[in-house]
Amino acid sequence: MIRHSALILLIMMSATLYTGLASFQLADSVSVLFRNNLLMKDLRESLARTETSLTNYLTSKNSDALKEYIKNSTHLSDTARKLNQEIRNDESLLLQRDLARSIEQYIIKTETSVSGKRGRDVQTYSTAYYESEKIADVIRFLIEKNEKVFIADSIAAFSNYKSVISPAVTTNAILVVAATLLGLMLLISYSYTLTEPLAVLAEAANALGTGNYEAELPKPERMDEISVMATAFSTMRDNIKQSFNSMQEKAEMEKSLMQERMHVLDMEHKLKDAELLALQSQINPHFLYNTLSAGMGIAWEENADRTSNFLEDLAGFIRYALKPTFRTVLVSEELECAQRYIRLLQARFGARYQFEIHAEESALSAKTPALLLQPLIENAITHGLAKKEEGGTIKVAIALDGSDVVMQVEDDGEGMSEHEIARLYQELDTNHEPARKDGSGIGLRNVMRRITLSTNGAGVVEIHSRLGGGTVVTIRIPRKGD
Amino acid sequence: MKNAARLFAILFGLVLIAATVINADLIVKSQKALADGIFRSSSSAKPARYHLVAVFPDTDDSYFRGLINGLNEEASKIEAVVQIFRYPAESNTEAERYFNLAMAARVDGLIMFSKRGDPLAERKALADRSNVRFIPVFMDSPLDEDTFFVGSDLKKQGFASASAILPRLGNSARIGVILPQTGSENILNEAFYQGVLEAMKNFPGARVVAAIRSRPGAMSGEESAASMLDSREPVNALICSSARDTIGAVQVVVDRNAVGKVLIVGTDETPEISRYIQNGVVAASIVRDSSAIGRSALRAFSDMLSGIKNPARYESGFLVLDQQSLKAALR
Repeated sequence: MIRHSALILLIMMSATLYTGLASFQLADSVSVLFRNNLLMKDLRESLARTETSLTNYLTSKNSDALKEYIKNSTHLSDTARKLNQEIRNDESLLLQRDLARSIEQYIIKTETSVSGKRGRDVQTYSTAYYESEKIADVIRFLIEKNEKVFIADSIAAFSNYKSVISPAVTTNAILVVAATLLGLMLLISYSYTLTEPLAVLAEAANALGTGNYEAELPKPERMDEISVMATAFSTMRDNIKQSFNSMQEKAEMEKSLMQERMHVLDMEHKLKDAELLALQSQINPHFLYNTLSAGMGIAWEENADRTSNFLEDLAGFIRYALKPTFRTVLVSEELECAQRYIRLLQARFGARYQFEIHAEESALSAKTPALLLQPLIENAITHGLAKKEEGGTIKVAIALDGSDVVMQVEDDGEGMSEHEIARLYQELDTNHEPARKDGSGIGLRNVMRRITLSTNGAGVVEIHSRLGGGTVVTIRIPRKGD
Repeated sequence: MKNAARLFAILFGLVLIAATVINADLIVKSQKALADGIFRSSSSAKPARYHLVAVFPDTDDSYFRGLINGLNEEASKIEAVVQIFRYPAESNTEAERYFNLAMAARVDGLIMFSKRGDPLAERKALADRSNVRFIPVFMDSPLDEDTFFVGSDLKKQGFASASAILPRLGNSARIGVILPQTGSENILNEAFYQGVLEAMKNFPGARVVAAIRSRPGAMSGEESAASMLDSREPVNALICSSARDTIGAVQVVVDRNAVGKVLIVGTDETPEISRYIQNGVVAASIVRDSSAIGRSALRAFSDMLSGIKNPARYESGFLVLDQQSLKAALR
């Protein structure tokens, strides 16, 4: 921009300089014209004064006239020295030479005449005087001719000058207009050059504000301030983008950590709930057990034998159930617990459900995880027989089968389809939460887990059922020492 | 928009540069115009060793143009400049003034057109006293056989002019003569006229019906020719002693539809005269080599400079230009 502006200024300066020079020359030419005219005028007047003073002296022989003559002739001679003396191939210069040399001859003649006068040589001074007058005529003629030639030359020169200076003035006017237009065009061009990348930069800044990091930036065509800004903006945008990505990754990480922490907190919360629940379940059953024992004592004092037996069975079942479930008990103890539970059910439901128990004596001394039969009996009532209005029969069988203790709970309830059995097995295997709303499967899964854990996976639970044909759940565990 | 702006900028840049160049050229021309005129100084004009003055009558006779050209051509060879002064053809006073000017200015040489009757001896004496080499240029040779001069011989020119037509017209020739603008007051003493009469001696029946001296002015030739054609005894031949009078006579003959009936013998060679010869309007033209005369005048000056007080006379020859010679020249 600066370079181009300088060029325009240079051109305009040149134009102005040229015009100025031409104007100066024009003015100077007028001065020269007047100078030459003045010189000729001076010569004419000086010649006239010399002639007069010479005539005065020759006629009066007055010393003042002589002084005057000397003064005038000296001035004439001095003035003549300003004329060209060289031989040059130029009409005006040759005329000046003629004039200069004629004046020189004139002075010689007048000097001769004065000398003749002073020497009283009439013939000499009169002859010289007439000759000087003849030369004076020539001088006047030459002065006139010089002036004519000079004026003619001047007119021709001015005419020539005018013919060429007029187009020069017009050209200068065009030059100034062209320079102005060029300046405007360059200004517009450079304004556009300047504002376009700024506009692009502004758009990129707006885009950055809306999260778009890919907006186009001005291309760095040259190293100017805008390119520096664009480069700086690009660097800043890259840094922001990098920082944002870093922050995003950090936020993701923190979110993940937060989720984990929430999970831990949830777990802690659940643990506390479980602890609380466990505490509650420790406190309440004891309270219940003691209360039931107290009720049993009251019933015994009042001779209410059935109530006393009912409370005794309930208190004995609760005491058995409240002990840790992962303990190992004798099969006889497990059987006793099952019998107490059956008696409680009989007290509750009367003759609605029939119970048959077959236990081999040899199996009673074997050991088994505690509380296996009760959940199975409960399931048989809840899922197998509950919907049967006429009730049903539940058979409990305990026997030895080789090295295994086999415990079996059978009902003649509604039974399950193969699809339901398959789904039940899948739920038990995958340890999923029970899909059924009635909670069936919880007791069975609990039983299976404890069997698996206590037998290191050797124990199995088998389910045999058919729809409308009742269900048989068989527990097979390796026999452990008596 | 940007591209358009750039295009305009380039366009205006070119216009600007072109305008600047033109402007500079114009300024230079204007400077030259002033330098050649008002600002002309001694250093800008070519220097020379010798300063000569040439004094010629101011007529439009092409003879003098050739003479001046010859002088200028030769001047450059001997490092001389020739200052030309021209005076009205009839003004002897003016001629004398220029003579005095040359004497007063003590120039190196004076080339002066002279004619019979001029005070040649007196001028030469004055010039010698002023140390000015005096070279008279004559159209007709001076009567004094001893006088040095450079020029053409009008008598011979008149003889050649009459000889160009007399063989065709023979004794029936009725000649009208337009004499040179300058010359003897008595026509019988006019060298040109004497040459014509000399040529007519071989044709006793031939006669000069009229002889008129040319006058200043462009129409002099027409006026002289018309008066001779209108005379009681009409002419059948017109002899002109200058190019201007030749052209004038041609105009009258053509206007009067007398081409072929009136033969014209002209003087010198101009494009117009050559064209009239080709067309058969002019029978012939006697061409004086005035340029050679000019060159010879300066050679005479050189001789004087080298100490030769009386250089040899120089008389230029003549060339008869007619249809045959023109055809030969074209071939």
